[in-house]
Amino acid sequence: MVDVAATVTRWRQLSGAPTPDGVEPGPAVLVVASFTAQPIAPSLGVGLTDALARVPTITFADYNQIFQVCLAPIAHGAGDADEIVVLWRIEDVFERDFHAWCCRDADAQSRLLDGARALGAAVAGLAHGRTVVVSDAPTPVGYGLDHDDPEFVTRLVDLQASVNRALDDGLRGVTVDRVRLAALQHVTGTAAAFDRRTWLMYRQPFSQPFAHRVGGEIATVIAGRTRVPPKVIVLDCDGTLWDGVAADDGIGGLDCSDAFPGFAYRSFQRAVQRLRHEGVMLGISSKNDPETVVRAFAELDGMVLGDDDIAARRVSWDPKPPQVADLVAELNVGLDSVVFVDDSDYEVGAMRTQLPAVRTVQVPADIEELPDLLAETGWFRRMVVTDDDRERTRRMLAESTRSAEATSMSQSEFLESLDLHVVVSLVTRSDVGRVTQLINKTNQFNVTTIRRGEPEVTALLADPSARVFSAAVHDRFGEYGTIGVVIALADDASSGAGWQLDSVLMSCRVLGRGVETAILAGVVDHLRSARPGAVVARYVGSGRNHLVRELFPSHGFEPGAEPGSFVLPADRAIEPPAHVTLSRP
Amino acid sequence: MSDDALIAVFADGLGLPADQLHDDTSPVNTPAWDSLASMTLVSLVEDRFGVTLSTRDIMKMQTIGLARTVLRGKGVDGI
Repeated sequence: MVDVAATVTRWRQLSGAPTPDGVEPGPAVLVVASFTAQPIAPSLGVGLTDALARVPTITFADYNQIFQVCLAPIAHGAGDADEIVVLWRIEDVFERDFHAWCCRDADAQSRLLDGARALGAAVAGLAHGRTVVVSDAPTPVGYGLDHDDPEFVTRLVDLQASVNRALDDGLRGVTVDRVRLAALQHVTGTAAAFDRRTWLMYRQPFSQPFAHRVGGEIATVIAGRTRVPPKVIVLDCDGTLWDGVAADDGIGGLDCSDAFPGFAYRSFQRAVQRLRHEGVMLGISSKNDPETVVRAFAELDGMVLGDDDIAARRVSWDPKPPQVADLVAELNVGLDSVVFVDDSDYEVGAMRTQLPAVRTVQVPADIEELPDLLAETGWFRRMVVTDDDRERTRRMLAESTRSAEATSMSQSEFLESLDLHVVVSLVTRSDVGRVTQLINKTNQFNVTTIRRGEPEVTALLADPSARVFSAAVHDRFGEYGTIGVVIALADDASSGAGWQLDSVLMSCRVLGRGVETAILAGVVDHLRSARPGAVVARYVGSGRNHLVRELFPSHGFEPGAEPGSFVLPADRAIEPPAHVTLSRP
Repeated sequence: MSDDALIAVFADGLGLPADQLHDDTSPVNTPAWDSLASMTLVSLVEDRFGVTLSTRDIMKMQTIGLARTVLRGKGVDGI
């Protein structure tokens, strides 16, 4: 049970204290709600303070003024807000139409849906150039609605779902974060989430525990934008994927069947496989003979995971920390995005001491807890999954085939045989999610490491003096998806220059194949067709991007006037490598 | 922390030192006792004394002294 009183006290102390000199103040959060929402402030404020190490300011617009705020944001104090949180309920915003619906007015439902669409569109307008978190509508409560009547509740929940879909229609095309009041209310219980006393006295419908939960959830959503979700789960085999120890018990002594205790392990495998389809890569780290694990995967009854689920594996009698470090290097991710699962105290302890950046989870002694093990960490919640994430494991498997073939041919023969295609195109709205992800997570092959959020990228698409390019790569082994981004800005400052390359970044997955040369060739070509002249660029060292220090000089750029700046003279072009088929925008 | 359990709860809910509170403290003479504080106080009082307050109880609690009367009426001892 969360101590609501302690949170209230702590928030009072935090929000009452002046910001010390030299400390950056936290974000200004404006809550716009269709009801009195003030009781969410303590858990929202404390949650943001803990996550951001800065104290936010939280203000509330007058209740049930959502449309007014959306239509005249500046007049309602939204001009100074860093974050706007919109919380709404059907029975507040559409009080009359909702009552008409309850009274079986045949047209009421379509009016409610139109209203929700309009609300979505109004919030979408608010989201231009601002960061907005918007709720869905919880199940209506109060007004004597009988939540113990299954027939009525079925109708009501059906209406709620339609209204929430209509809101989503209205929001289409803009990027907002979501707080799912309906789901939070569902897990809390409709009755437990409602306080009819404060509703009637103050128009404040949430019970104190529910308000606390909602505030905490909003803090998690806001703070989660900068969070690094796990990219890889490294799994032990014996005692983790199945009951038993292969080297001692033989394959026949292992169990992940439909009967207890195997069923617990089989259920865990399902949970893990589901995460892999959410874009998390799976690795195996096992102390065994390699062929034993291969046989277990092939022969063991009830195995859910197959070879095509596993992006990389290390099976040997070597210590696990080096096994895992090596595997992680192969998958090209940071140790801080790795989760390690093992049943052994020893192995978990070894990981914690030798690779402390890796998050570890131990298989519980009470095996009924195993299926929920990863869900309960909370690390995999609120993942926004792009198609590219989902394809990651398939790409890594294709990659290992590529590597295997590379060793047996000369490098140039190998490159020739790849049938490598680089497709450079201008970014459209629908690519913004993946492009923003690349901008914010690419550290090594990134010349300026300028981070941008979705609203900023979206704004650049509409800016006539900017060009945002993405690059996708495929070869005969498969798709890499979108792997590179270039942002160019028309350059009026430097004499004779046409464009300035503000960002050039690329996933390290495609290094060493001339892809970057093809991208620069395609981009420079396109830029000059719009506006001839020199192209200027710069390299800003971040401590992690040495890889690209020589990128511009090695592509014909000359040193510019300032340190780190480079100029590609107007008469110099960049040729794509012969083994690449380049599609220009 | 005040010896008086009820004063202590109100000090918590209003964010004021216990020595500034007494049985005549009310929303009229205490700006910190606004409607948000009232909502917080309801849940703090319920948690601390293990009671459930109705809107009638809440409306009666116009001063700390009246809150004491209401709680005694609901069988809360030692306050």
